[in-house]
Amino acid sequence: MTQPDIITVEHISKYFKNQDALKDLSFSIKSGEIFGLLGPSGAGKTTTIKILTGQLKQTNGSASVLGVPIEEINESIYEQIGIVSHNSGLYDKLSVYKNLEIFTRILNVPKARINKILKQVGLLSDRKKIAGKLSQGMRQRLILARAVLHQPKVLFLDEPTSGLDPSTQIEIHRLIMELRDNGTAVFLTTHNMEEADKLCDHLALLNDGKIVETGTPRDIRLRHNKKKQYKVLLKNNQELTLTQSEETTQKINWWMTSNELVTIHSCEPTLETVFIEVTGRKLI
Amino acid sequence: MKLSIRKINAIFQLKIQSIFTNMSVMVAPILAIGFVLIMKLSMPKMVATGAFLLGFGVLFNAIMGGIMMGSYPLAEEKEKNTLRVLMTSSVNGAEFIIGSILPSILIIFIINIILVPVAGIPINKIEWPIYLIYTTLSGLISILIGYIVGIYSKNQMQAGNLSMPILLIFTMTPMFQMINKTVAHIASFTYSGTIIDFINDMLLKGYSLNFKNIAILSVWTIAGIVFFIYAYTKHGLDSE
Ligand SMILES: Nc1ncnc2c1ncn2[C@@H]1O[C@H](COP(=O)(O)OP(=O)(O)O)[C@@H](O)[C@H]1O
Ligand SMILES: [Mg+2]
Repeated sequence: MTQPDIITVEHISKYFKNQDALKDLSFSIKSGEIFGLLGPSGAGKTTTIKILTGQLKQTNGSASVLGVPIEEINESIYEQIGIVSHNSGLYDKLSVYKNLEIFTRILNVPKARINKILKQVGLLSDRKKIAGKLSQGMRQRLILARAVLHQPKVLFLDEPTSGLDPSTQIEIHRLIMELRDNGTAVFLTTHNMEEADKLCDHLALLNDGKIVETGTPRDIRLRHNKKKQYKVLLKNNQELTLTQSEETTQKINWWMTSNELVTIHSCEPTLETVFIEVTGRKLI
Repeated sequence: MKLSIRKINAIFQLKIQSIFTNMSVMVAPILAIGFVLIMKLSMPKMVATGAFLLGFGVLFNAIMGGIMMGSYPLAEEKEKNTLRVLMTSSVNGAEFIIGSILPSILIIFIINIILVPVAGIPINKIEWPIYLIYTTLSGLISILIGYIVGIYSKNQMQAGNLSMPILLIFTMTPMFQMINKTVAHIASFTYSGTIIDFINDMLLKGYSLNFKNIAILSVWTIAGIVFFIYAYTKHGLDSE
């Protein structure tokens, strides 16, 4: 079944006064899909999100979100999209519950949804806490709860787990995948290749404002698996890396038959090594 | 620009809630009542006349209060990155401004009424419709000045620094008027000067509608709106 495109981007460029921040980006996102933009800091991830959410104008190219060309975006589109960014603030002096209550009024959402979503993000028992007193992980979960309060069709997440501890990261990943499974299109940016690998259905690697590689995480990794290699550990504690060949096949066959083989791993590259290979630089 | 009553109401409720958590909004109205009471109780009756006390109270409440109520909360919303969130949650600038102005105007309006008995002025001495219209308009002008300050500020500290001189000029108008005739003449063309003149006329001379006062307040109101719209269209509420 083919889903309609929720976001289409065609040849978008952005020039700031003294630099090209985005160079000819094109991609599309379908509903029920997590699309990831993976790139180091300064690659242009935030700029892309700002353009797609009508907060910044592109210099060239065209894009549409939910069928609306981004030039025509006005406040009504925000009733159908959710945004989590570095500068998503909370009303620090109001309670967790009140922080969401404001937005149920703005977005015409039934109040009953507040407790439901608080439960989903694990903040139900903290609903009376003052937002300013939350831990960083709790804050981020509240911001995420607010972004999906109105069950948006598209969710923009700008490095949603950056700076969070690993267990909160896993918690946020679980929420994102739940939303995806309910049909939300998720646009995610990250500089964390493990996160990209784990979460994204489709990926674009962004470097210096240019998309250098696209596909599913697995496609990308396998595309760069040029010399197939296997790493084996034998009973006699010998560790070997063998390149795919007739001889290797026979060796492995022999070790397996004689039960010499303790472990065997294929050596396809990680997204990180692909990124380094393609761009000559590290993520982060 | 479309206006949604629901969204204006949402902002209104948000601002009402913030009043109880952010003292910078209530500090001037509370000080206005407090100072008028203290002066009435401690100063000789000759100096602390009803006109003096009420004039002082209204300047504190409507002018100082209005400027603070306009500038600080807007600057706070920018500093805490909540204004951007409202704007990307389908609230437009006009809805935000209307929803935020209403609670401030309401507070200024109520305190202006309370100040009359607090200043010890018999209720029948006040020409209520004109008094309420004039003092509320001066509150509105002050709030608009506050918003202009807020538009040009990134955080509450900047808003404080920018609004302090403006606030001093307008709340100290009566003192400037005491310096000499020329300064007094100039000061009578400010909206704060007009409020003081009006209160004096009403309580000391028995007021009759005065064209100059109406003209000055109208010009200030229009100028306030024009400058506000200019700053808003040029920079938006949240300039980057
Ligand atoms: N408002 C701006 N004015 C000038 N340059 C900018 C502006 N915003 C971003 N940039 C530049 O554009 C590039 C991409 O930035 P950004 O999109 O924030 O990267 P990322 O989110 O991937 O870290 C950076 O080099 C940054 O300095
Ligand atoms: Mg960024």
